[in-house]
Amino acid sequence: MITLDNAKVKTWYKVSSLKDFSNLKIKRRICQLGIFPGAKIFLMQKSILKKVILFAVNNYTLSLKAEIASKIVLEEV
Amino acid sequence: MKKILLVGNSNTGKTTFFNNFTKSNEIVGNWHGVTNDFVSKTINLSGEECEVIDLPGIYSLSPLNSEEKISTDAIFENKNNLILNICDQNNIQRNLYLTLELLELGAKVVLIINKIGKKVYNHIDVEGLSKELGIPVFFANLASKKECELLKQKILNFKKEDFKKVNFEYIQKFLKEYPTLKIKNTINFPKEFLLLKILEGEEEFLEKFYLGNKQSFVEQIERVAKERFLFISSLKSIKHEENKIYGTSPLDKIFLNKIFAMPLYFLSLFTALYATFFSVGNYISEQFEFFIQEVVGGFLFDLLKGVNAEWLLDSIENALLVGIGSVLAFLPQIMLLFAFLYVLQESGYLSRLAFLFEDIFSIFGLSGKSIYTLMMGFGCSATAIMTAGNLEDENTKIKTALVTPFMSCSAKLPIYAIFAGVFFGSKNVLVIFLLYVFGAILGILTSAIFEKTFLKSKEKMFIMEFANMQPINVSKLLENVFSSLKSFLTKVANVLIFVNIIVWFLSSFTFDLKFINNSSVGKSILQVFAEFLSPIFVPLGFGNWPFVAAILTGIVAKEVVVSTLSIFNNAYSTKSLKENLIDPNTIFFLSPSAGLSFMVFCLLYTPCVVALSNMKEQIGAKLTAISAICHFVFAYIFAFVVYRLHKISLLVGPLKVFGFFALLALVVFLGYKAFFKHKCSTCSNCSLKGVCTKKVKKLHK
Repeated sequence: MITLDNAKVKTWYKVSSLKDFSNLKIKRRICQLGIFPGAKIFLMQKSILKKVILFAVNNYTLSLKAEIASKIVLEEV
Repeated sequence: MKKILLVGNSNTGKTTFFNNFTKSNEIVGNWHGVTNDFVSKTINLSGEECEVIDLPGIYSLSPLNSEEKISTDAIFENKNNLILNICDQNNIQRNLYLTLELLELGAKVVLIINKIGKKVYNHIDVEGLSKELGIPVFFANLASKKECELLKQKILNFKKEDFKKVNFEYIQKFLKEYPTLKIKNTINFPKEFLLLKILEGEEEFLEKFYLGNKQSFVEQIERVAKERFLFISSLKSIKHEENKIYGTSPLDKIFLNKIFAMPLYFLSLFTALYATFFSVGNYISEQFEFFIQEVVGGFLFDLLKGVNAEWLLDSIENALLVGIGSVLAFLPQIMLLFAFLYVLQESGYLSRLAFLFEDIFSIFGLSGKSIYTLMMGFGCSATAIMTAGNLEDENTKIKTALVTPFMSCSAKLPIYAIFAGVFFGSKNVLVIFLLYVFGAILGILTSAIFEKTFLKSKEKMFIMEFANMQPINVSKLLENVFSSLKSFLTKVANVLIFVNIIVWFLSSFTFDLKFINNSSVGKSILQVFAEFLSPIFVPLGFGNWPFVAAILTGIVAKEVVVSTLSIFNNAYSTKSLKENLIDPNTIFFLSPSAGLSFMVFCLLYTPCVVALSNMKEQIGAKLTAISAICHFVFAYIFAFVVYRLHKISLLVGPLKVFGFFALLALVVFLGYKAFFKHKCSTCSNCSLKGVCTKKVKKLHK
């Protein structure tokens, strides 16, 4: 299963689903930032220890903690 | 009184607009979360008093941290007033999400699209967008005072007809889909707003307004967000430039490079300190000191030639000229430090640093975003602590606020400049750089202790938008530096003059209120008090009473440490403080080890009262009190260790001391390896349980 934390960099993906978020506030924020099933994501870079993921969504750049990124399931475009 | 609320996403130019709109001078920056509390100012709009309120940035009406809560509460409370929704032209799609929520709320919204930077990512037909949303829409460069003034005129001329309620398709869709959802009627919120908030599973709204079974309720967060975004992308008046991603820069290849990024950061920090303390800063500072003492001092004494009151002349010379002058002499260096911090913030480099530092900081219980607070701590701890409010996790916020005073603030700069210059000569910059690094490392390690004990981060959260990289505008840089300088001088005027007069009084009069001059002998009030406490500081190498008194007064503000020492020095000697520090015949004499110990103590000890007061606001009185005590204890322990180690290194050589500690670290490490096996908590059924190493664990998986 491809998730945002284990996906390949410099690649376009489409969000296929969001896995269980124990904290609804975070899920809500993720969605409000434009990450929901169907949204296109371009994975730009991972930090040195791969704890943060840098990607583009909705034409802007966003960085996300890998733990949260692991809950975003992707499919290749 | 009428109210105007400035609302919008973070880093869209709300405060820039507020400053131009109300002729204020609030801090602005290219970082998400510079404004951390609401700021308001009453202005006169066509003869009518009007309160303009600048709110911290928000992404939606669902707050995630304390700053966002301030904003959403203010919006709910003032939704019948005019809301100026500031959007970033380049990121309009994401920004309009909040606009839609405000319209669902039934607020009277005016959309102001800020043109930021030279690159254009979106082409917007303003009139078309106004028709599609049913609200007035304006396009302006909010950094321009002229354009803000024009905007002010337009805002004055609004009519009721400019605001039309548009029945958005997505709202109608939800209303049709959930006609029987049991929602409590209220006059406070429109039905469609409540419906969407409940579908988004917002606890507060579910609790208050949902009358159905809360246990069986299934939220529709993804759908609600998707429908709103689909509506935004269907707007005909916005055209996005294909393949352009906002927030990226060609420079990211260097700033985010896995090999060069970190060394580059430390190199830039060292260069900034070198420029501040040595090359440029030192030269300007010397000229400035000469100007204050010779020119200003000469002028003042010429003015007071005929005055006979000795105590008055003495108070002017010591409390004002020497005391204040000793701190003001470092203004050029403080200005350079502020300029460096501004460049870091305004260029957009700070969000890159936050990305890089999240890796390391998360190990120690901090967030990558803490870097903003910590870096601002190099300028002023008191203001920096307030910025911790933009951190999502409560415990991370507390830890960040607690460790910020470990960062060497600009007020400590005069102490280092004098002591490092006297005791370490040409190596002064290296010593000061190491002090900065030492403070930062100690702060991070302290956070790790909190993380492992009573302040474990509840939620591993790091969601951060990248600020756009932009060139530095020199006039803006100067404006900001002078604004920071103004705040510094206000503090000097408000606190330093007051404290210096008290210090002068306590050091110039005896307990029976006799003035101490050259002909009279006696101990001043402060001397008696400091002498009583001085045995405590003897183990640290600086038990001389002037240093003890300087430390005590430094709790009010760290700038006072140098001014207090200068007042004493001027009262007891004709030589400069720098000369007396190395003269064994004076009470100001310190050995190099004691000088270093004094700097370490000043770096770490109890933060100033303003910082403590801001800390109390962020983390509460109890933790603030603990922090004040802990800082003192930390300072004492580390100053003692540094004093002893430096003394030993002078006797046996620094290499031997370093070798001893390297050996000690090796023994501790080998001992740990031999006695404590790595315990793997994740593989409970593993046959290697209790003895597996990370390598085996990987294979086993």
